[in-house]
Amino acid sequence: MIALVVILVVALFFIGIVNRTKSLLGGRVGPGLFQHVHDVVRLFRKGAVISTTSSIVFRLAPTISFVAILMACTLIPFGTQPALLPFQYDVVAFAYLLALSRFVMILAALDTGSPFEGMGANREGIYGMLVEPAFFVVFGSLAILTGHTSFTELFSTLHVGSGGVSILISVLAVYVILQIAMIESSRLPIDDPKTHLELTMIHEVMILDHSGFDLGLIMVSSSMKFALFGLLLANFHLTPSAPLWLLLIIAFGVNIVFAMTVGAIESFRARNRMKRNPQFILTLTSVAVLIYFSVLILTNKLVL
Amino acid sequence: MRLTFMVACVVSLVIAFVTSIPAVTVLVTGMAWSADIGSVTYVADSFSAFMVLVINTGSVLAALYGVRYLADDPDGRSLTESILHGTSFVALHAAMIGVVISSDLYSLFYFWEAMSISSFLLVLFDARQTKARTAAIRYILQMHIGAVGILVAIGFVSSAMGGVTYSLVHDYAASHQTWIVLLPLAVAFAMKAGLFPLHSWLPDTHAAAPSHVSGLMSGVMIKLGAYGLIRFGLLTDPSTELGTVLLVIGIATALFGIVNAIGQRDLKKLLAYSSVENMGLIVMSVGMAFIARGIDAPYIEIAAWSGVVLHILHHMLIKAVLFQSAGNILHGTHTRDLNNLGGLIHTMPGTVNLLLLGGLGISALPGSSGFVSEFPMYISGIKTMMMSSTSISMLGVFSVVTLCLAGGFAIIAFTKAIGIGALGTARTKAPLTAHDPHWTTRFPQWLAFGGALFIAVAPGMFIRALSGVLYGLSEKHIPHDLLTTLDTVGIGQAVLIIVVGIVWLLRMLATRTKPVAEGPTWGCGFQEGDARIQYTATTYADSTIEIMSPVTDVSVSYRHIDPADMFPRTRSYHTEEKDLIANKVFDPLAIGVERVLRALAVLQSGNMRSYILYAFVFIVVVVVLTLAEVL
Repeated sequence: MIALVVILVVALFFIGIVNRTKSLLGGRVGPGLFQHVHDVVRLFRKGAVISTTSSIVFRLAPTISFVAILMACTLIPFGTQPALLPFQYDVVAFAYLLALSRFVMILAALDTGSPFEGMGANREGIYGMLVEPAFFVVFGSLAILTGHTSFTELFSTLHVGSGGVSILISVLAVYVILQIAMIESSRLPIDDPKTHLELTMIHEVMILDHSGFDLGLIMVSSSMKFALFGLLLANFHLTPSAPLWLLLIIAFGVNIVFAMTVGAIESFRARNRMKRNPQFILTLTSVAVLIYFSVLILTNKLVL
Repeated sequence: MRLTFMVACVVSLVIAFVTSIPAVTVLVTGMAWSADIGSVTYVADSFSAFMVLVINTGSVLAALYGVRYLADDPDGRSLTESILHGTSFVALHAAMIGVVISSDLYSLFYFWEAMSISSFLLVLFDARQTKARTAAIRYILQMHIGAVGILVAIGFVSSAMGGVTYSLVHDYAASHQTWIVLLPLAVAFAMKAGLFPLHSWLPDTHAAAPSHVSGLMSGVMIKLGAYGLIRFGLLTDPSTELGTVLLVIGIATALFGIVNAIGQRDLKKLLAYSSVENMGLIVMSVGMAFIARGIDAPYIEIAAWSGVVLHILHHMLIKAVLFQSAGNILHGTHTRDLNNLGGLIHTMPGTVNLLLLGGLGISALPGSSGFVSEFPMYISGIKTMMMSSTSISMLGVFSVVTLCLAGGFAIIAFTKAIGIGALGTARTKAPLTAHDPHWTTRFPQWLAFGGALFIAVAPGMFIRALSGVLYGLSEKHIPHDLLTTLDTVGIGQAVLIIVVGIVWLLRMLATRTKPVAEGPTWGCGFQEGDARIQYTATTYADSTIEIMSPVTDVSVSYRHIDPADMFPRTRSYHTEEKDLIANKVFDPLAIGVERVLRALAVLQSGNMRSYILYAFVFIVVVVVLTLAEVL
């Protein structure tokens, strides 16, 4: 339950911090921390313009996408506090809920009949597919390391610096999850949310036709997706011995650092060439395989 | 036409009813059924009984759909054609049941051939089209080559053991090299199951067959290939090596199938390649179960078998939904080419809704039966990763990565099928004039989808009901926490569906008073946008095909602009999706064989004198060899 609250609170200011970091690094004052929330509230109050080409799929997709992300939030624990709906192998459900959200948003994009949205949809499908092996190999390796297969059990025994977890594995795992978060949330270096040319967009071009309440839901979903991965990263640092107030500080601290990292990456790095993206994403899988072999060596399963 | 098939439908229903009662009895009591007909014994253990139920459900769904589908058939058929079609349908249903209750290789061979021939006649339904004829003849040829495998196995077993019952096959395998009998049988089964690289008949045949037959072949008939692999795998005391071989073949089949599904423009071919993928996943899971048996890991074994059983059920139901939707679309628009479709959701909402639900299911997304059937496969994969042996652990990594890649590719394939085919704007006039067929056509589809939804929310219940089957396959009881996990997944899926409903209601409430304006799709400044600027099936697949070019075969014929062309001339751009294996391996092979035969045909001069000469030479050779004491 705490996890869900933390995710919702983090979702309020996450995008704000990212944008603020970017504006400060770019020498501007930038929008306020909660500008994003104001935008969403305003969108919720607005009417909508709907394309004549579109159908019920277009209107239903943001709702399903939002619920899929919401359900994914219920699988994430908060340190030793169990998740809302924990079960064995919920790692699989987590990845597939994100896939469900992707599936419906792709359909919504194709439903508009716009050439640009088709392009974005196609890219979203491919990059989402390519990133999944890395996710599964990382969490499979963590399962080998701890002997547990659900997020709740996994994170109740696993944290940086705890016995048996080497710094190398933590650093690599955090790196891979950070990159997965960037790709899943359509940020740099795969996709640039601030680009102004439809041809080079991925996520932004898919939602060109959404407006009003639905666009608000999409913005909420993407903030929650960030917070979701933020909490996943924070879980590596939540030591069970610490009191709750300290854990909360750590969790928010990790998320703020995460948001600032995203902002910094987006300020200093250019977007990849589209053709390079598949190679870039597959590199993550190779890092994940590196984690897998380190775990095998650590657990004395692979003797060199 | 309608009346003759209705008779077939009734006969099929009767067969289904009569055979389901003993099948259910076997499942409930756990006692195997057996009967002697003449000197032949037929046996149905729990696994056979399960397959009988799968066959019956699939056949009845296809028969119900077929009645209505054929009633709207635009081409006039002669009475002979109609009767042949109806009879073949019933024969296929009966032959499939025969295959799973056979207990010796002779009856297996008999029913196996009956199954191939009756399905061949069903595919020939549209024999007036060249494509259907070609596909049907390729199909029957490949099936016969496969069936030789069963004959070879009969030869080995009967010469050594004096009989061909399954128990003698087991004794033979125990006392000789196992692969001698298993390999020829496996070729026959792999051919039917459409396993890589023997899958090339499958897409063409499924595309050419009438839609109720495609659904039946894809949903049920090819599963009998997997049935054979499981049955004889278990008979010959499966080893880890056999499991590894099946796992690797399954992985290759799954990935090859789904990547090629993305490339297809033909809706039914896309669905057919997705069947190849799903057979790959099933066989991969069977391999996992055999590996687990070899290393004595009961939890993994039970999880893998649960995946196999649930996936067989799920795929049978969902493929019926999808192929029948494709049938409705073909019927309404007279085309299967996705590049000619689009915007169907406005003209055929009933059909497209089912296509959408089926697409969610086949992509194994949460809230569908596909998710619960792949879930146990993931369990077995991740558990295998956690095993102590490095090589076994890596097999687990391969299976998990295959599952998630196949899932990701399936999302691309089915967003393409639905998004390009049914959403957006119509690309030609055909979708604009289409309309939903009579609601009775959709009745079997909703029936099938209802079944799939039931699996989705209560997988634990199905696994409990099928515990006898799982016990028969693994001789182990289901661990309690596997059931709890599946129960939780089922509840989670139900919660997901309910929460979607609630949020949708809230959204409706929140936007009720808000103004909604309608306008054209944002064209990014492009004013004269029409259907032609949309993404097509070819462009949507292009980037995937580019990454996956080693395993796909898409040829592009394009007339380049000649520098000397002063004025624009008619241009053409044409792509064609072929099967890599059929195009690069089997076709050259067939052409080579034909060339050799043609060269040998010189001997057949038609001249009596040459034939007498051949006889003379033969006699001389025999005499000389006898004198030389060679013979």
